[in-house]
Amino acid sequence: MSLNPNIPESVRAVASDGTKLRYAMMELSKQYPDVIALGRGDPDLDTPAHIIEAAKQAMHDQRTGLTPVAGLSELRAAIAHNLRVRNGLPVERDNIIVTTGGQEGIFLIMQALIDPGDEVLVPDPRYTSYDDSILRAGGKMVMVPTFPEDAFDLRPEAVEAAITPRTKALLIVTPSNPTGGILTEASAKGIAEIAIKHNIIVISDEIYGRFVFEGFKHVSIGALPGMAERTITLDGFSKTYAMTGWRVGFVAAPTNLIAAMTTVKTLTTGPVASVSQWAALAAATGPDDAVQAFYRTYDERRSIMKAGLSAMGLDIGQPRGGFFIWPNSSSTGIHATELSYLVLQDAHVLIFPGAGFGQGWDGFLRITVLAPTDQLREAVERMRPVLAKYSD
Amino acid sequence: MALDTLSRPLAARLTRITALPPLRNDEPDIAPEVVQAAADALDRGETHYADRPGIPELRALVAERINARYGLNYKPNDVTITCGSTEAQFCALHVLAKPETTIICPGNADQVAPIAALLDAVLVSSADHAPAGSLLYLTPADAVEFWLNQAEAGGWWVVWDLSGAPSASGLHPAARPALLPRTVHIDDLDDEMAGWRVGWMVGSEKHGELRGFKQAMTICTTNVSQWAALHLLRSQS
Repeated sequence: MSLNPNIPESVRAVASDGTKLRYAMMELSKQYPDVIALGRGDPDLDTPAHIIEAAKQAMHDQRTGLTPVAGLSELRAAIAHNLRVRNGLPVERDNIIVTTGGQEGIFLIMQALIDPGDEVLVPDPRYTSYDDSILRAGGKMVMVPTFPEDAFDLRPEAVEAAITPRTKALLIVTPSNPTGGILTEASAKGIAEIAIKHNIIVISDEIYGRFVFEGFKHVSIGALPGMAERTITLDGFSKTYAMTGWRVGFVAAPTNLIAAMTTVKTLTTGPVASVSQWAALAAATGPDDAVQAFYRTYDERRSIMKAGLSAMGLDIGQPRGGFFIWPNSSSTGIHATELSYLVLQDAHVLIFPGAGFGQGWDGFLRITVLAPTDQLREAVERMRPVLAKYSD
Repeated sequence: MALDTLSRPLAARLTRITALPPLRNDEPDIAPEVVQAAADALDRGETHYADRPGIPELRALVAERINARYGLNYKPNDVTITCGSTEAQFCALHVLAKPETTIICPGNADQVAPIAALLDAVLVSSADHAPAGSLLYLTPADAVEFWLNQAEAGGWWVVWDLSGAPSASGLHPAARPALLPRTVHIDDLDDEMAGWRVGWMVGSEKHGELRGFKQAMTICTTNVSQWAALHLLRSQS
């Protein structure tokens, strides 16, 4: 499908650059005061009250000075505890570095690992913000295809087929952004065998790991036998606790890598804001009720959106986790970038086109469930006539 | 163990880093009204991603203060809020200095030397043989007028770092038309609130690239910290 020349130059000019395309769509959406934003992965829910109160208490107590660069000792210990208990990862405090969001974690990992020319296997489609960190470190991205018929699980044989003598690492994102696919236990085991056989490092981004639905279970590949010493796990507080603006992520890795990342972080951003770290500590050690309530909320919203999109004739596939639905829109006959623009222009609903997540995904859309249920229903109602009007 | 081997270039660079910049531990108490402003921001729900370049009110105030002090004409869109001046320094050097670029640092190089090592740049303290395209890392503690003449004549970029101390003389590289597009202004609030991690980088013809790199590293600066910083700056004004 080709791109209709009538869509704005601001979108056309960046149509082949996933990150810029997403940002261009967000900029365009600002002209519509009544826009329903189902684009960016920023939870609309509030940070739980006990976390806010902990941050306020830290401020009132003047616990706002600089912390160690790797993070508050208590926070690192709490993160390690949770990773042991929830994910089965054999990590201690010294295996943890607290980062300025998950994004900085990716940057530091790539800086620490990648030699120029090293190949990093990346599932396709992907959240293209990984690209910058890999490329700046001198790495080369090698795409590993994933397929709708597998619910976008990662096929071990596809991973193995992409390995070359220059392969340094495999990036796993589970649940996946954008597809909502998850790494199943069977695939994780198969991939672990391959990683050990070929001496590959696995970088496992599990930032949506608390939100796995449809009866499936989140799997941390680093918990599998033989994987602890070759797995770097990336996670954070942004998505789990609706804390995107606090900028707190973390990386779990062998201590030599943590030491190197800490040195680099000293020079790139220094420690994470202390008030954010105290808030994160409250999240990590406090009651889990809020996360469980978030889970139920997102599950209900997914049901609404899946039903609404299916009723429009879109093939929604089998999203199993995270905040996203990744419908196949090719039945409309419209390039997804153009369709996203038309939906924004006519329905004032912001969604992202598949091209924002890699080449060859022109027939897919990424739609989040990060809005209240009444807005999701309204979004469906607004989108329905647009799709009917423009579809072949 | 597969992870026992770091990136070889990084391992080599780390051996060249002999000291890291010290973290300050003398932060004064935060004024109650700044704490209250931050608490109010949390109550308003300022817990989501902030505007990626920084909250508009803070960027506008930063530009206004610089313009008033130095007679410049920066716009809010010339300002990007960073995670302390640390991020601004790293972004500026990373974007402006390629491997083998000469970085001239006439004064204290505590911050610059390890970054230069990380970037494979060449750090010098004098102007001898500095080629066009060099980068001058200047602070108000240096002989500013002398160095700006050199920068103008040599076609150098200037990173003007006020994070250690303000410019008592009122001199600013960007006041020279030839240096305006090649000057990156850096400052922070570390004297008042270092642990909140708020700094900024301002100006230059490469500001879009600088901002893009910042966003690729950390997306945006901590939302509540920016509101606290805004209140502090307003109270100082």
